[in-house]
Amino acid sequence: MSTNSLPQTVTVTIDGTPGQAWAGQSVTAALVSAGIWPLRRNPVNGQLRGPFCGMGVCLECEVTINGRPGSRSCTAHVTDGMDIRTHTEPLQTAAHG
Amino acid sequence: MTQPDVVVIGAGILGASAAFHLAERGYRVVVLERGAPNREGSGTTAGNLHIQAIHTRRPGQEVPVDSARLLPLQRRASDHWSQIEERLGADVELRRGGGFMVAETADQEEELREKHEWERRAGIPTEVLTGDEARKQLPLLSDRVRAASWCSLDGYANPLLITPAYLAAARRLGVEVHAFTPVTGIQQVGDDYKVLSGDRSWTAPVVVNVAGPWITEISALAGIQIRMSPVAIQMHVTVRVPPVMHHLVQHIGEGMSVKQVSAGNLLIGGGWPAAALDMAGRSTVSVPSMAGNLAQAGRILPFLGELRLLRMWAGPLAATPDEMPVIGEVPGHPGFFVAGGTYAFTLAPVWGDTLARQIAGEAPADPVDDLGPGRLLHDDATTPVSP
Repeated sequence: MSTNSLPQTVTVTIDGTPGQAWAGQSVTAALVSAGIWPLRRNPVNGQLRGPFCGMGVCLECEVTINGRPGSRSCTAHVTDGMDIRTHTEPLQTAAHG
Repeated sequence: MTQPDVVVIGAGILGASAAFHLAERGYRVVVLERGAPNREGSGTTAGNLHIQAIHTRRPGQEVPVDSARLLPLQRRASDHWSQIEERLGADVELRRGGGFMVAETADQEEELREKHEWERRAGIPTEVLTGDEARKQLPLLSDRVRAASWCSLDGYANPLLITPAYLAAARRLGVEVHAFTPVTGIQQVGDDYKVLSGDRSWTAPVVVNVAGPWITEISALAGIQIRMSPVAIQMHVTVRVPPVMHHLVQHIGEGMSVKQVSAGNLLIGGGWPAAALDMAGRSTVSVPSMAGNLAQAGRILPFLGELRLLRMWAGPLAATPDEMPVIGEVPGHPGFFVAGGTYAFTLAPVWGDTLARQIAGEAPADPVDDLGPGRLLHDDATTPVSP
């Protein structure tokens, strides 16, 4: 096996805390490896949401990546210095309707 | 039950409604469905309750709907929908938040005033608002909106809930529903019809063909040639957001409907054509239609531009060549009824009640003689089936 196939360890920041992840792994995998499953809340009823389909379809795993909200963590690849923030969705303040 | 009073072919919203209304009157009913109930047009439609007069053309539609003609039926439908959850004992996410039909040009504003007059005559309360008045009620509307008609009775019901609710209520009244039971033959036996699915059969004096895009094929099994023009249309849905809009928003000049459903998603449609109608499988969405529909919706409701598209899907619409609904007994074929065509979701309770009354030999609550299937028969198509 060539040493080139070993993943490269990089530094990412998850909710302000620096940690290590592998370059190229999915952001979802990096979050789950760090023990973080709930990524956001349902904006209507406040229920916790996290990775569900794992393939970019359900949009339940959206987080803010490098300042860009609404990024699907399952289809985004980790890069060195990436800033990942969970629970960045605006929540309704008063239930109505 | 192999000898029911009525065999209903198709477990979409019309079949479910017809079965329920017939069972309420004591008829013994069997419903035959080629696949899963509610899986085709009834389950893929927008779920709008159109009580104010409708826009007359989908994008690409050749013949306009005679919108004024439908208004008495829409008024009747409004009354039915008001009672439907109580009558079926089910929550179908019925919302009657009212609806705007917007105009961007002077000609379109004139159309709003013309239809307002039809609505007044039909007893449907509507109001024509200036753009500013409309924006005062719904600030999400853009400056492009020059005028809008408002109807407090417009609304929404969840298409994934209403047909199952009808079927559940029908089953409680003794109706048998056979899913994955495609009809393969219809034979005349004396005054009855013998409806076959493979080696199974049901014999009844009355058949109700509510097979949606398959109305032509099912009728042909009985030797009846009915012309239909089924198409596939598509819908789009955004991610969920907190409740921001409680109204249905439509456009008088173009096919467009936008509303926020209970789950928080914005549903965007308007009858834009899908890439292809696939009668054997699932129809394919069209990217140009997606782009056109979303651009148009974003022009009227700019906040949509900040949302992400979650999904889109296509489903059949059982349109007729003249774009008007079809309902009634086939001339020359006593006991063979057909119902379908456009706006079947809104009109489903009316069509179920109308079919039940016609089968009972009563006059319908509203006259529908002009909507009978006779106009869609091929000239050489009235020969009875040989026994």
